[in-house]
Order: sequence, then C-alpha cells, then structure tokens
Amino acid sequence: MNYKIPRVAVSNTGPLISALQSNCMNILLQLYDQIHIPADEIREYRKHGADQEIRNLIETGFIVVHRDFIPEENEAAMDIASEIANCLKTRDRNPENHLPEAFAIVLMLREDFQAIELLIDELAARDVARQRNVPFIGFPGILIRACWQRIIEPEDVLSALAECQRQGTHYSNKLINEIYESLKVSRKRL
Amino acid sequence: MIKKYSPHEPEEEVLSAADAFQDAENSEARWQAFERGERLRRLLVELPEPAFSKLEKLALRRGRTVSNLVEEVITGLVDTLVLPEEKA
Repeated sequence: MNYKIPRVAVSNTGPLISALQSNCMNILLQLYDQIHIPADEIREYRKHGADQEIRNLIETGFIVVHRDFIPEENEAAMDIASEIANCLKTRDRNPENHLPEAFAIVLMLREDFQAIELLIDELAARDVARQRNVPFIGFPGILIRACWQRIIEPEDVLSALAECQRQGTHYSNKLINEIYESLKVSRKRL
Repeated sequence: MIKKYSPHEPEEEVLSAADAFQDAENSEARWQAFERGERLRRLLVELPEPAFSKLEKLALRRGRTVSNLVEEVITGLVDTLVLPEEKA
C-alpha cells in the first residue's frame, strides 16, 4: 500500500487570479495536489476572463468545485459574509459580494475536510478567518515559500508581483520591493 | 505573451510584506507538520499486526495518537542507540 494523502488547500478568487495574471499556476501545481473552491467563485472567474483556464484546471482534477453546502452551511456563509462586509478593512459593504470568500471559509471549517490552508489576500476576510482559527496564506506568501524552496528565484517573485500589479491587482510598490529585497538578503545568507 | 485578466477586487486592501512573510512562515510550519505526519503514517501502514493494534490500545490508554506515540518511541530509540554510537 503506497498511497499518499493529497496536499489540499481551499482558495478564494484573488490568489488564483494572481497566479493566472503572473503565469505562476505551475507554482501552485508544485505546492498543492488539489485546490478546492466554492461554486460561488465560478462567476467571478468568468468576470475576470479566466473561465476557460479554471475549467481546464477543473477537468484535470486540480481544482475541485463544491456545490454540496447544507442549509446550515449556507446560513453560516451568510453570517460570515455580513461580518466581512462590516469589517473596517473593506470598502465593499454589500455582504452578497463577500459570499465566495465566506463559503471558502465555511469549507475550511468542515470537520471532516482535510485542507491545510486557505489561499486568500483580502485583509477583511483574513481577519474573519483568523477569528475562526482558519489557517491562511496570501499569494505573495505562496511566492515567498516557492522561493525558499528554490522553485523560483527572488527575481521571479519580483516580476510575478509586478505583472499582477500591472494588470491592476492591488499590490503596492512598497510591498513588492520589500519582499524582493528581503528575499535577496535571505538568499545570500543560505 | 501573457494573457491579461482583470484584477480581483482592486479597491480592497491587501496584505503588507510583513504579513506575507508571516504567511509563508506559518504555512511552511504547517506543511512540515503535514509531511512529518505523512512519513509516520507510511511507517504505520507497514506495521504488521498485532503490533499496530497494540500500539493503538496503548495510545488510547495514554490519551495520545498512535503517530505521537511512534514518534516518541523512535526518538527514544535514536537517543539510546544511535547517539551513543556517534559519540563513541
């Protein structure tokens, strides 16, 4: 018997869009065996022009879509979405718009579901996840891990984040430069 | 040429560099624990009966998991057998 437990994560829309923007999906494919998403995210990928790419990843089995939420989980997601909408760190006060990340958090809270972490960038949703002890990582953190594991170089992290920024993702110059400089220094120490 | 995708919620605040490094450190620790568990699990799968059920009963009595117990036993064995040999 030589089966391996898959390395599973749940993702919100943002990190997967960043991975597509920067052509870094191969990094996610190296770090994870499966990424689970709630069905509510599908319309967001469509909106971002990533429908076909996500569909291809679903066909390969890398992305697994959940539509199996029970009424109690739907209610929990509504509560979480309201909590995110009321958080000071968000500008979007409409809970409906926070349902995809709320369902992603609900997936992470399933007792029988063995996802190790939630991929999420937005501060408000991260705060709500933290309050529920849901472990998470953002897209820049994933790139940093990939760099530590020598899958990519600090320069690749710089160009990936810069490409996301060029396509409109809200990564500041300060964030990008600080990550790049720290990675260069830590690389020299190794 | 890279295909362009419209950004996700560009008006929302995202994390700082310090957050990103903290994320990476926490994640690294989680995956190391996962890999450690995986190695132990593979070892346990290979254990012939009745060794596994004995370990299971012992772990239950002590309120521990089989993985914890095996990790402890192996660490003890390494301390007892391998380290003195290395010192000599």
